[in-house]
Amino acid sequence: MEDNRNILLEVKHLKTSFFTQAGEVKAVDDVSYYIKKGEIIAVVGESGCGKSVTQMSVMQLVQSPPGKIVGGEVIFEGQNLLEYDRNSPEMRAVRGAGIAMIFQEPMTSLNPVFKIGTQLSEVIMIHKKVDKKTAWEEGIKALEAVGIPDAKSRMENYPFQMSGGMRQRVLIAIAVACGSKLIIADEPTTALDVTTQAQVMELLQSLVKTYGTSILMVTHNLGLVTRYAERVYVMYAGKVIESGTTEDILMHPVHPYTKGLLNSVPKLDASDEERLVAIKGQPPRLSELPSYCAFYPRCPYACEECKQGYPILEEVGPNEHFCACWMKNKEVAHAE
Amino acid sequence: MTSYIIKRVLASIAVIFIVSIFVFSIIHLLPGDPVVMALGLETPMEDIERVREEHHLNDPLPQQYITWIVEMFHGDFGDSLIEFRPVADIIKERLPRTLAIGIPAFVLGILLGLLIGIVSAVRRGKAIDQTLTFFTTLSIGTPQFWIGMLLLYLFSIKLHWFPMRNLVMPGESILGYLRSATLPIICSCLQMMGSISRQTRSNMLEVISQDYIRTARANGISEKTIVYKHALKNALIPVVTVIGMNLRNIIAGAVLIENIFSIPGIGVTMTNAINNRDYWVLQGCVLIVSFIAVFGNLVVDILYGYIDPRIREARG
Amino acid sequence: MASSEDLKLRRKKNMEQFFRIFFGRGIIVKICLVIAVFFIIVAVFAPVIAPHDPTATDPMNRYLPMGSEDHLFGTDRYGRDVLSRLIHGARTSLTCSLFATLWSAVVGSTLGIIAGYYEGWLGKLILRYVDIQLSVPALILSMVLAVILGSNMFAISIVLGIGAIPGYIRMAYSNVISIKENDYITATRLIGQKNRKIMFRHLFPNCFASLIVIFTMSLGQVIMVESSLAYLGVGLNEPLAAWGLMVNDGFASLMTHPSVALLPGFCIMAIVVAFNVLGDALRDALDPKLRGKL
Repeated sequence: MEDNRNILLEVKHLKTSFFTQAGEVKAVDDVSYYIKKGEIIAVVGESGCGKSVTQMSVMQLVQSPPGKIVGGEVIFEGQNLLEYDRNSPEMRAVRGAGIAMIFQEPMTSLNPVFKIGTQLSEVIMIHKKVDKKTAWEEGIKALEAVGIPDAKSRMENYPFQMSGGMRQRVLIAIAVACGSKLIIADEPTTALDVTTQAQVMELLQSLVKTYGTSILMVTHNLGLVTRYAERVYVMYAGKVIESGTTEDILMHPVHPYTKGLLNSVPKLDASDEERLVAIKGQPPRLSELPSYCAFYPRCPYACEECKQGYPILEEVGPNEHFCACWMKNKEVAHAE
Repeated sequence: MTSYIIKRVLASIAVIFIVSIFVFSIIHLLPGDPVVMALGLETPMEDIERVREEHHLNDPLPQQYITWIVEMFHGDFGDSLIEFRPVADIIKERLPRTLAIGIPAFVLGILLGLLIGIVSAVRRGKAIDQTLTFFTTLSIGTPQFWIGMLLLYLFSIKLHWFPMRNLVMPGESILGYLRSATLPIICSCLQMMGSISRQTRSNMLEVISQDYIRTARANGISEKTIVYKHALKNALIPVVTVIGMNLRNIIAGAVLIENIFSIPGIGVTMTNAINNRDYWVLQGCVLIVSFIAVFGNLVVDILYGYIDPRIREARG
Repeated sequence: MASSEDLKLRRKKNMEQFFRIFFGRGIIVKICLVIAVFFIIVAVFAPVIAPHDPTATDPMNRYLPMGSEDHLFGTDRYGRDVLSRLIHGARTSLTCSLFATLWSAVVGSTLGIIAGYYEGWLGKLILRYVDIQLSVPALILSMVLAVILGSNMFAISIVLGIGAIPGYIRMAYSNVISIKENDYITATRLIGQKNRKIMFRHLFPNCFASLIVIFTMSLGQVIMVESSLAYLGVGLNEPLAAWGLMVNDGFASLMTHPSVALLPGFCIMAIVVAFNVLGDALRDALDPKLRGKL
């Protein structure tokens, strides 16, 4: 691993399960990753693969019951956050100020009955322990920092008076105002149109440059990954199945699932037959996982050997390229 | 906001106007000649005719309606056929008694309903939630006249804590009022309390699972602030509607409550007026009561706009 | 296209889920189901079950206490058997309110669907009417109507139904408004289906879940109004056995013979609560989205 002082957040063997009538559902199963200061990384995967639950676990925001973090460590700036009670003041101090989170639905992520300024300054008051007036001023500054024109009057607006992109900026402004060191962006642009998407992403990237913020994107949009992320974690059925630098993952994918994911992105330069190849089948239900590789039923390279148990992550190349696949060293896996 | 309020007020006036036509037509459908019923069957024809003339009962219906409305603007609601005195005096005398029960019941119903609803939402699934939910289900499903009777039986007849009848007005003696009004107030507020707490509970649960609550949590806002500030204000919006509807029910409930606890208020007056075909009393009372209901709805609408900025914008 | 096998399987799964949620709400729902079924059976077989003629007076045996020989629940002030009157009261109340609920459901939801579908003057007129009716306190309107229409069971059913109509109109209206803009309705419109066909083929089935729920709930509410009217003396008349009448009748002797008034009241409470709880459970099981709206 890299120099430890540079690591902002390290998640080790995190396990989160939902205990339902149908039994235990392992939504996050032994997930480890890290993010350095001022770095942008991405977690990709189909919906329902546990990528969002992982982030909610880091924040200890998983709905409980039925959800429960059953194991692992979340080390943020040297402190294991899981030692804090989920409702403790220490944990609350981390949320918003240490780690901020931006969600998929900007239209519904702000409280409809409070003014933007009220919502913004409330969080500032909590984390910076300043009075209302100061918090309001700082709120204006934060709105300006995220490129909202006419910030002063915008503070008096209600969320329904703003566009989706604007609201997403407000959510980012909260993070900026509180000096968050890490922003977890859960599908930050999925609900926005393409132009606004780019603007929001540029804004996030500029935060990295200006404030040294780290950004963790959760997404299924591989276009965003290519443009902005430095490293990528690919998740499938609650596990990380491949990780590495963006270049390695995109140019030299090892896991059949990663390859499938890349093939399912429309390419303009591809011939007609290979333009769009979807991965066969449906993502597995997390309540009905096999005791072996979860991708087995959909894997084009599946064979008897694959049924010997869960594959573990092993290094497959330089620059920390890891992959969890029984076939990874076989030629077939590398066959293009 | 001002234009929103003006719009609402105008709409309410229109509703009151139509309600007055509605009330007038329905009441004049009542079978039986009111004068004959008031004076008795043996009254000579010319006496009956004279009384009919006096009360404009021989005019065509539209003209009767217009006379009624015009005189009402001069503060004249007509005279009672039975009691031989102005309806306005009767209302002035009896409405305060109804309000002395209705207003505290209304306030108590809202406060208890909100409290129970919030507590059971916050402690959902726990023993206290189940107990309260069971209790509110009972309170919604129990007829008021029977609850009143049960209260009378337990607290007046068996325990002698409260008197059985004779409402004392707060102006006469506060203590006497408290003693005589407690049971009717409790009886009157239970159903409303139940429906408000039900609505509050289910709204709170729905709001708690919204995205913006997740945002608030992710921003490190404490659970207490989230429940009592962020969630409550959103959950209250539909509750306000229920409160408006309950104002009507409280007034309608007065008919039953006053009957059980022998309170000579508007409710009992209306019941008697229906049975005696006392047209002008009935019309006046029903209109006043409807007016209170419509006015209550107006207040609710304005509150609505105050709580929910989106409504203000859309309707304003 | 799904095969019929698939459809069958899905239907079976839906049924299973329905029953799981319906009964998953604990013992209270089961108790209420038993209560409702019990009263329905009693109502259907009232003449067979009742030990005495509910209207037969017996001046020699007035106010017999509970547990008397031959009169399990005692007798009232005319010496009529309270148990028999309770049993026949179930029949009266359920018949009246079932009829009232049925006709108001049909008329109300039809009006609501029309109001939602044609939003023009017709729709506005219907909605205005609802506002007007709701501005007059419900019980008072019912009292006046009861006096106008008379106090036999048929007339009272009409009165009760009128009181229940606004609820159905509003429910059907809001349902239609929310599904009307769905693509498939627009599609059927575009391919030129007749309005009436769209309404009854597509809109009505979509209101069905909420209709069932509100039907069950208003069954209880209507029984309550019916008994209130009878209690106030403008509803069903003596010597008919009706619970509200019995409470009214027993009120005079509350001090000396409380059971005469309290027993029928208890029956009203039991059946109203039972229908309300069942309505709640149905709502959760049929369509969880309705929670908080109905």
